[in-house]
Amino acid sequence: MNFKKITFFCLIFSILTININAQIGDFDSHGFNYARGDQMFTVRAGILWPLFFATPFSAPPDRSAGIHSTNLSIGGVGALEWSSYINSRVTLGGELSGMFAFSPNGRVLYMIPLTFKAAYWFRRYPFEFPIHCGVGVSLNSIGGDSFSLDFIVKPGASAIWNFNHEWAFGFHAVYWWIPQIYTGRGRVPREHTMFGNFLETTFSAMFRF
Amino acid sequence: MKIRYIFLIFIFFVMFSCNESDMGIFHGLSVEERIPDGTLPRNLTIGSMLRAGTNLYIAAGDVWRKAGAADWERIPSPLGGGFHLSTSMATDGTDIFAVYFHRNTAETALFRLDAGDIWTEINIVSAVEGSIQEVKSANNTIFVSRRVSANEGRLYYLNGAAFNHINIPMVGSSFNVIHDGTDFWISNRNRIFSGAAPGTVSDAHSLHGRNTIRGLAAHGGNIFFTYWDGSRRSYIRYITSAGSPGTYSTSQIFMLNNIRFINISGYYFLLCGTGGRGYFQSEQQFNPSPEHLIRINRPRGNTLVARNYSSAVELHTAAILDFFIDGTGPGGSPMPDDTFYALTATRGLWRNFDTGGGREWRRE
Repeated sequence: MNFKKITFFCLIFSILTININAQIGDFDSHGFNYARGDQMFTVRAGILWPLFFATPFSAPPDRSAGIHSTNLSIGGVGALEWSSYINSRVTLGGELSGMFAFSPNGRVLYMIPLTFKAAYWFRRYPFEFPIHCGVGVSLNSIGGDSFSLDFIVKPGASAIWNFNHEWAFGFHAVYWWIPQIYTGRGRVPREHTMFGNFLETTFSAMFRF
Repeated sequence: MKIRYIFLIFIFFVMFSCNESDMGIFHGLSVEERIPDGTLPRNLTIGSMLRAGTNLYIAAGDVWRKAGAADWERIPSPLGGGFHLSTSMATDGTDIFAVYFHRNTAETALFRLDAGDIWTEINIVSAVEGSIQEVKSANNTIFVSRRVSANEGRLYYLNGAAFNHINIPMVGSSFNVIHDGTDFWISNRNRIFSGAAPGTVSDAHSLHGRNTIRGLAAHGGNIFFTYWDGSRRSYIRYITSAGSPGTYSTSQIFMLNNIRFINISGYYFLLCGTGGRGYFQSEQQFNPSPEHLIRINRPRGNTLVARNYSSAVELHTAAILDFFIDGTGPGGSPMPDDTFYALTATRGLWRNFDTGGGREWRRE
């Protein structure tokens, strides 16, 4: 990269920094004092990365115990979230998510988790860094033929930039852990028990009211 | 105390988990492999299939031919492409016939495939007007149906060089025909006809008028058929060659299509395609009774497919219109270790064969 390009990017960065600093000053003067009952609504969209399936059981001759590929494509994910402050640091709420990804033969996996969510908020204005965990159920379906309702845990962390008092935009990394447990008493054998592991990376728009 | 409540909530969700299928979703994904493409388009709807010598043919919009071990090739449509859609074809052991629909007028016509892949239109001289609908064959005899009106049809068979009318009352133009080694059996709507010659068939069995017979097959001296009762239930039933009724299968909520028999390593299976839910098969039996054969189930990764699980999953949700048994012996009896094909709607043609290390489905 030549000197002119470096100068150009430094100039652009300086302009942006000046602008942000101006906004930081504005935010600091307002302060962010959240109280019990304050609410927020968040819309997220992004990518779901299938990580791996894990199982303690072998299912001969198809597969062994241990870690296995999901064989899924990178998926799309979206979520709607509502939460409310119970004090200035902790929020409780609920979240409805949805994802899709494709199998090697074009079958579509859908998962729709419905979770209760708790978050603890660290702050360095105009940024906020909540860590959170959702717990609930996920409706899972593939190919229009198989359906299951499974437990899901979604721990994660976010980085949120406050545009103003009402609006904020953020980036989220959320781990999806879905234990698909079969006891063997139904039609599905116990050996088909597997733990699904996915990573959600999303951008969000948040509205506080 | 709080930990106990959290634990109870966890247990509740685990106990609440359920699955309507017979396979774990994640497990199925973990063992899924990409099904290799064949030389035919993946999305074909296969109306019918036949073997003529060393060549295989399918009617799937276009007519396709597989000569020996060569790839499938498309045979040009007749009359410069004006007739472009073929959904049925049949052979009398010498000639190949196909029904084509015209691209613009929806007119239909019967064609014969002559040397050089030239289609020659065959006229069925008849006092009754109507459009040609289906061509099928049994015991090297060609049968053609013609729709006369919305609810009335006519059936003809090729007798030498001329098509003769078969004097049976037809509702609509859809029919099935088989030969059990002795007699011809023809089904139309809720009735079955039989006779030693096509021109002499007469009533053999009839169901209630609300039923529609979907498929017909002969095995072990009995005639098996599938039918739909008009209220979302399908059945398999059999009658003896003398026309005596046998027992019914349990009803299925899926639309059952045509019915076929195969022989794998000396074991007889009944196969029956469904509308959108793969196929049913009878359990493995060495010398099965008819009651055993109509006791069908819908396995995923079934006993015919020791390998290639992904293909079985793909077929599990397909609409299978029919099976073509490539090796059926005289009288329609299954041959040992049949290679057979699944004719699907919009999911192409699939072959089930012995790879030497087990049987598997492969997309053609």
